[in-house]
Formats: sequence, structure tokens, C-alpha cells
Amino acid sequence: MPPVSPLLLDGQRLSARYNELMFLDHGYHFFAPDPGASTLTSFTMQRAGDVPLVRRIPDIEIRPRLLYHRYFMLSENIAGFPQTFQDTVYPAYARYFGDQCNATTVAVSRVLHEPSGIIRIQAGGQLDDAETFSEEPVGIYQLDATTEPREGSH
Amino acid sequence: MFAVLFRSVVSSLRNTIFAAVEAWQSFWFTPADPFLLGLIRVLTGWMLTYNLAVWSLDLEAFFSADGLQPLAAVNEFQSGRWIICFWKWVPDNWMWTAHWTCLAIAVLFLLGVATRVTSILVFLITISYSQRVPVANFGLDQVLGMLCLYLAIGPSGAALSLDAWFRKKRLARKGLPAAPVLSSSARVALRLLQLHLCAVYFWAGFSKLKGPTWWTGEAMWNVLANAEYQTIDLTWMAWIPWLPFLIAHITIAWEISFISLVWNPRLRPLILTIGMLMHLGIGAFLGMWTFGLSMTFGYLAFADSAAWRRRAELFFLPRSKSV
Repeated sequence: MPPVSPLLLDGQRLSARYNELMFLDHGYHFFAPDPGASTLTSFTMQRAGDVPLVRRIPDIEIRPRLLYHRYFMLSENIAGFPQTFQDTVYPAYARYFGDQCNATTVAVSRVLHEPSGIIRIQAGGQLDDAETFSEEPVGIYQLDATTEPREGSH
Repeated sequence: MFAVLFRSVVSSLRNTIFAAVEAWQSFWFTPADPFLLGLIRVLTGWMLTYNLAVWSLDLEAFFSADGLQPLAAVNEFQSGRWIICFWKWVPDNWMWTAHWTCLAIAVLFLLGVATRVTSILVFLITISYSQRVPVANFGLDQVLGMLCLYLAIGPSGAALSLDAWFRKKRLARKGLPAAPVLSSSARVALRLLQLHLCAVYFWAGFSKLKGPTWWTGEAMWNVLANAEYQTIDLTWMAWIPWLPFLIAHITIAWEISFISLVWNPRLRPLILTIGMLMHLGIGAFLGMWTFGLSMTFGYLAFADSAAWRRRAELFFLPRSKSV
């Protein structure tokens, strides 16, 4: 986690192989440096002769809670991965959820859900008020064999 | 005069070095009762089995080559890194066979069967699952990896296991007493686990110092008011805002000082109790029971093995004498 000195980076490189091999290469940055907005992923699925279906992960209906958390992490963690990785993984998400409802096209968006501040709650606000959500399109994917983006993502 | 002074300094230095070496040897290698490792194994094995059972509910979605985590993308992301992950060599049509085998090994580990082998296998299984689905990882995976590593290093099957039960039967047939064997490797594993927990909390606290909201105290409110994590409505805290601020300050102070205070025998119960409360809170209020509980399993490395053995003997273990 930046900022970091070149000396510490060299130290990290020295132990990197061992840490990778033993699955110890974590910073243990739980809710750090700042716990901010949650990242959700929204899928708008166009189906032939039917109304579009909107699905969002994480979905509170997913049980048990550990599985819900796995889906939450798919959405929350993906932004921290390299863009090339995201460019492959988002179409995979689109294909997976699109196939579940025979969609022909899936529009994927990244949804940021800001935590409501204390003053907002005191004024009668709720945690899931519409204005706490903001949506940013990722791409629209045609569900064919390749699941290539139909329009440019980002 | 000068020679006397020189001899005195050398003698003092030698004594200091010998004392340091002795303290080092004692810290790492004084034989320890493997009972606590056995207890941590049972709890970790239970959590690991549950974790794998939950993967069963959506195995193909996460682990198939073209699933939510495409194998090609994961391979490219991890290229150049030294990764242990058997899943990368499992074709899709063998996925369920591999998974049920892993689940069976986890159950054997939980029961303490062939633990010398199953403990190592379970470590490889744990990190393989995590490495195959890097985006779906969270704290639970890191903690399970840590616990399984040290359980594979130490004799985690020497107590509370079928291995130990069979050993006792064999010794009984020969007319020998079945006393628990103290072991240096148990001490090494417990020490590594203790030090690892210190590192986890130190970095968890230190990294929070980079965030302004942890300094203002708002961070804890932001965590508790996060609808995606929250399992119990805590918005009532908005009317007593000093409470989340206080919890934030205590969290930071506790995480950063854990590394030093936990070694003080008088403070240890207090430090571990605060940690237990924090992790139970993470389970109850943020819905991460698996992560919260797994962290507390590691606390047993700081426990008094004689006291825990006495408690166990009181309820379900036959009384024994150490050798």
C-alpha cells in the first residue's frame, strides 16, 4: 500500500517468492486505509421478446452468507485488478448471468454505494436511499460464442 | 588494570550472548504439549470443511475454465509468480471428483486421520482454492491459509485425533501408558502462529493509520453503516455518534499494541478478550462469522495448554500425564 520506500520494496522483493508460494503475500489491510463505498455490479439483461431483467451482485437472497460474501467479493475486489484482467472477467460475469436467463445482450455497470453519513441518518435518511448509489457503465456484451463487448467498455 | 577491564567486558558480553541464545532456544524449542495444536486443528478443519461445502453450492460457476474466474485470465494475471494451485491442472469434467476428494481429505484432517499427510494436503488444498479464484478471496482465505500452514508444520494430529486414539490403543495392547508426548515442533508451530497473528494485527492497524477516517473515528461508522456488510441495523448509533468513534479509536490502539501487549501474561487475557469481542462483533454485525471465528481459533496459540487439557479431561478426555 503506497507510499512505500525503495528499501521496503527491495525487502518485499527478497521475500516475494516465499510469500507467493506459501500464500502469505497479503497486507492484511482490513477496511484500510479508509472504509468507503461498496462496489456492486449491475447486469441489465435483454431477452428476445421479453422485458429486460436487471440483476445486481451481491444479492442479499444468496445463502448461505459465505456464498453471498464470495459474490460480494467478485464485485468489490475486481476494481483492484489490472485492466486487462477486468476486460476478460467482466465478459465472463456477463456470460454467466446472461446464460441463466437466456439473455441476448448484457449491459454491465459498476455501482458505487456510498455509506450514509451520521447526519443523513439523523435527518431521516436510509442506508439504501437512491442518492447513495452511483452507476458507471463497464460495457455491453453480446452473448455469442466469444462474448466480445458490443460497445467499448469504460 | 586494562587487561582486567577487558576480561570483565568480554565475560559480560559472553554471558549476555549465552543468555540470549538460551532465551532464543527456550522461546522456540522448549517442548510443548500438542493439545492446543490439536484443538486448533479440529476448529480449523471444521471451518475448512464448511468452506469447501459452500463451494459445492456453486462450484462450476467459480472453478470451471470458462466460469466467473476464467482460467486463462487468472493464469495471465498470476504469470511470473510462484503459485501453488492444483486446480489449474484439473479439467472441467474432473472438477467434481477433485472437489469431493478435497472435501474428504478435509474431513479426515478434522477427525485427525493420517494427520501428518492430511495436514500437508489440506494446506495445499486451501491455498489452491484461494489461488484459483483470486477475486472471490477475502480475509477468511488468508486466515485459513495461515492456520493450515502452521498445522502442517506442527504435530497437529498428536491430540484430539483418531491418530492419537489409535496410538493409545496400540500402547495399551503393549501395556504401556498413553501419555501425551511433548514436542519441540509443537512449540515451533505455536510460536509461528503467535508471531503471525502479531504481524496480522500490526499491519491491519498500521495500514489504517493511512486513512483519515480512522483518525476522525468516522471509519467505524462507515463500516457499521455499510448496507452490503451489515446484518443487524446499527443506524441507531447515529444518535450516539461518540460510540462508533470510540470503537474506531479502540480498534486502532488495540491492533497496533497487540504485538507488544499480548506477551505480557497479566495483560494477555484482556488483550485476547478484546480481540474475541471484536471478531464476534464482525461475525454478528458484519455477517462474516467464518472470518471472525477463524481469527479467534489462532488465539489458542496463546492459551495455557495445561488448563485447556484439564478442561477437556473434565468433559471428555481420559486423564493423562505428560512425558
